[in-house]
Amino acid sequence: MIRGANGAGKSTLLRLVAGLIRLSGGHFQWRDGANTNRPSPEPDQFHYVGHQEGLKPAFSVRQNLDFWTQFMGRPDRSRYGDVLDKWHLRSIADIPTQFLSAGQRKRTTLARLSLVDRPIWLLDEPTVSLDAAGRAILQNLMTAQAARGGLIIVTTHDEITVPDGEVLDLSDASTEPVS
Amino acid sequence: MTGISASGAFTALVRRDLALAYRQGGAALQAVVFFAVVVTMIPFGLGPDLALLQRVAPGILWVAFILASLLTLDRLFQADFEDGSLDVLVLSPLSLELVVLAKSLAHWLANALPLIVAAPVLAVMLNMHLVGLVMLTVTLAIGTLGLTFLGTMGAALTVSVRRAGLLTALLVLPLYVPILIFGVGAVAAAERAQAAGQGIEVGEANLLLLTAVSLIGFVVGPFAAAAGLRLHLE
Repeated sequence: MIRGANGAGKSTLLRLVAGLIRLSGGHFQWRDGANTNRPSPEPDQFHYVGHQEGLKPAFSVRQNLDFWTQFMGRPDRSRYGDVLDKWHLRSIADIPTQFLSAGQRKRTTLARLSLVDRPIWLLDEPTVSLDAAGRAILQNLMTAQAARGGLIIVTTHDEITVPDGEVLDLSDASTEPVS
Repeated sequence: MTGISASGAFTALVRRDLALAYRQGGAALQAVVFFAVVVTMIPFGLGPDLALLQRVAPGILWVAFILASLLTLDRLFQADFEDGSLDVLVLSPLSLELVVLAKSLAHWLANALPLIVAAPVLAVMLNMHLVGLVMLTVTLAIGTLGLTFLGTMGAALTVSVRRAGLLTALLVLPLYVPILIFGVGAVAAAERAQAAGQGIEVGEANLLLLTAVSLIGFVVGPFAAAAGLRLHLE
């Protein structure tokens, strides 16, 4: 759990971990103790959910989810109905995402998490524009992921908790530019 | 990371881009109409001299074709960059080079192919012979591979620039010059051979050089474009 004021560097940290940005200094240390200057798990071990949703406005909810499942290489269609129900997306499954509300689009984006299993979740303010019910669904998913032994790194300003989670507050960290 | 999931991801991406091109429609059709309008305007500018039109036809068609193919180029990566899809495409079983390859392939199918189909029809309007017409279609089919893959470099470099069309054109057009020269050269050579009573020569130098340039583009383009995209993700 990463907290910090606006501009503290929460999103940058997540993008660094995902390997979307290269380190200009320092190194990663993973659980196995290896020090590297690049993220050591393969890119397809990560779920990264950022501020941009990555949804195609012309595609319906179903088509967007369909593409991501196929693209992420686990074409496990059996989960499909469960996921739509879990995120309360069934009634809007065939509507192009350009006509959906911000919260509905966020749910569609987060549905990726339950559609494709990946060990590491990087969630950049996932609760933005979610309602209380949506936050509860996310909370349950995160608890289940943690119980499976998965790793979650989440930035948020909201009250969500993960059992045994550590909180890193970037506001205390030095923000000196690295020369 | 298995071969199966990578090839599945590759086809999924190609199919998505084709579906998007079809669904959002318009862009490819607009390019074809632009191509037709430019070629149609040439006789108005040059006058109805059939012999003259026949002589300049290969050059006109090739230049108009290149300009028309530029119309759709700048959006190649931009939509994915803007809506955040690119971040997720990077975190996939596919390397970014293969992502570029898949997107270029879909781009070629959705945008270059309709232009290639339109070209012979427009060539008839400029009084081209059958041999020249066949050769034009062949050179365009080969040349568009080079155009598309060299074009990806320009599209990748300008991915975060608003209204990038002009900048992309400035970056990419100089790279297109060899393709234009050898493409037009091959058509002209085929027409000359026919006038001299000979058939089309498959091993003709212009055609081979055109193929060579296209293959260089095919090899270099995805790597250069992937490097360009990585710069913009930071």
